Amino acid sequence: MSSSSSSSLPPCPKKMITLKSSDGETFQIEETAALQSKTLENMIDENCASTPIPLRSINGKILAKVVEFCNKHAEVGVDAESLHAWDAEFVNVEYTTLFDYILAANFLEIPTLLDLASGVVGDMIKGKTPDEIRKMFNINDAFSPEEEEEVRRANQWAFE
Amino acid sequence: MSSSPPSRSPPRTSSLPLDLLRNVLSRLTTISLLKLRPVCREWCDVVDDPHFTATHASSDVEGPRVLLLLEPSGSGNANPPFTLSNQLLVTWPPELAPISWLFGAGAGASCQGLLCFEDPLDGVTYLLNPLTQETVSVSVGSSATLCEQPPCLRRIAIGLDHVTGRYKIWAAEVLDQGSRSWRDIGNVPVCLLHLLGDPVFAAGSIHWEEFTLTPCPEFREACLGDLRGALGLFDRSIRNSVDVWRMEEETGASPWPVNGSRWFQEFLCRCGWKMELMFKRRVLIYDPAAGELEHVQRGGARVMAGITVSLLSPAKLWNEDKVVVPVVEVATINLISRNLSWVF
Repeated sequence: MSSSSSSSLPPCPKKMITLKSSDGETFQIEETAALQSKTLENMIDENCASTPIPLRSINGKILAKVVEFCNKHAEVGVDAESLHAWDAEFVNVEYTTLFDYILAANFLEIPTLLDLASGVVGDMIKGKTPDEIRKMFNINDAFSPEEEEEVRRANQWAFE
Repeated sequence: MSSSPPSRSPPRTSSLPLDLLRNVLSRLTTISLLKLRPVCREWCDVVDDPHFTATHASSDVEGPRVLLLLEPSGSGNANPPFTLSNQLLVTWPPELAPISWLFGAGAGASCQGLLCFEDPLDGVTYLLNPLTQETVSVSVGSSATLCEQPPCLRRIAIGLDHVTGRYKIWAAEVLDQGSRSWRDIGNVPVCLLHLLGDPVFAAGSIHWEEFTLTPCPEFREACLGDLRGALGLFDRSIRNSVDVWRMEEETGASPWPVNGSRWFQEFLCRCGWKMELMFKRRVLIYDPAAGELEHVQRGGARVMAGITVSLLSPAKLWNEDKVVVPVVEVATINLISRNLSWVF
């Protein structure tokens, strides 16, 4: 520890925690960035974060992105506009990846990421036909054509 | 499913879990949601679920609109010009109710896309969703009040009691969700009915069944309104302007801080932050946050109420035991405290 008082910033060692993905990759993340995740925050509070934290439902590819997201959102001095642009680029991905972001954000309880990805998926749904949506969400239990016609007819005015 | 399409492999995620799907869908507009009903049974059930629709209607997705009902012309001209714009919902009155029954539906008579009204002849209370046109009777005629007060003079209001999570209809007596008969709530100060006009549902049950005196600004003519969960007082004493006061529940000292918003003329109703006003039969929507005033073209239709469109089914709602809707945070108190004025 330095006793120098000239610097206003105290020399604070960055506390890192280690996350381990489902496929065994490990990622270092600063504790301050990890705090955006309620799940990780709880583990830190309970002193369970000293060893690598296994995240069995998140693969390395997605976890890398989630860590990148947390790091960006923990950066100091980023103005709202550029963060917004960064976010837009971050979610400019295939919807399957967005689903993974949503699942990871839900598991890790990162509301900002959950909101962001859910919002984009919502935007994707708009203007798609039921068929396209079924394909997107891999839905197999569609209505029978007669049932679908009946549901559609009940709200005919909305489709005009 | 015969075989997967050769061009693209199906997504690995078969589907989002239901709670995450709801989260995604809750961001869509009401009409977008309606268009999703044919996707599959599960999505249809999500969209129709009263808990989901009520929560959706309480969120910020849909802004307030002015409900306009078309006068039946009798000549049978043209197609029903059903219109849903950013400002308006223009539609026909429900088949069973003449337009006059709905006229006079006050600021408190709409909640989460539903409009509450009474049959002036037999006092039966109805809930209407003007978007889906579903109408359901929720009470038998009110015996007690019928004798004292003709139903056409009754002020009626509907709202969600955040304390119990149940809806209530108020008309100097209370109709609880699921019940079909009115419940007496004792001494309603007469001055309330005449001086303040329509009852409103604001900040949960506080302003409903218990009557206590609270200090308030001086006024000659005012009405109450819901300012996103807080009780608002709209003072119309001064010609060509309205002062908006907002009751602060938490601060004991000064429950009605002055909010000197001044704008033109008669207060029609409010919905969320935006407020709907009438000025010389013109309808205006005022957004205090943006300081914007919009004119509403309304053609020959009659102005009924301010409303948030929703898919909430009145029949399903009234049969639900309880609908849990998260309380909307009242975040930006100072939005309406700017001084605003303008001239036509």
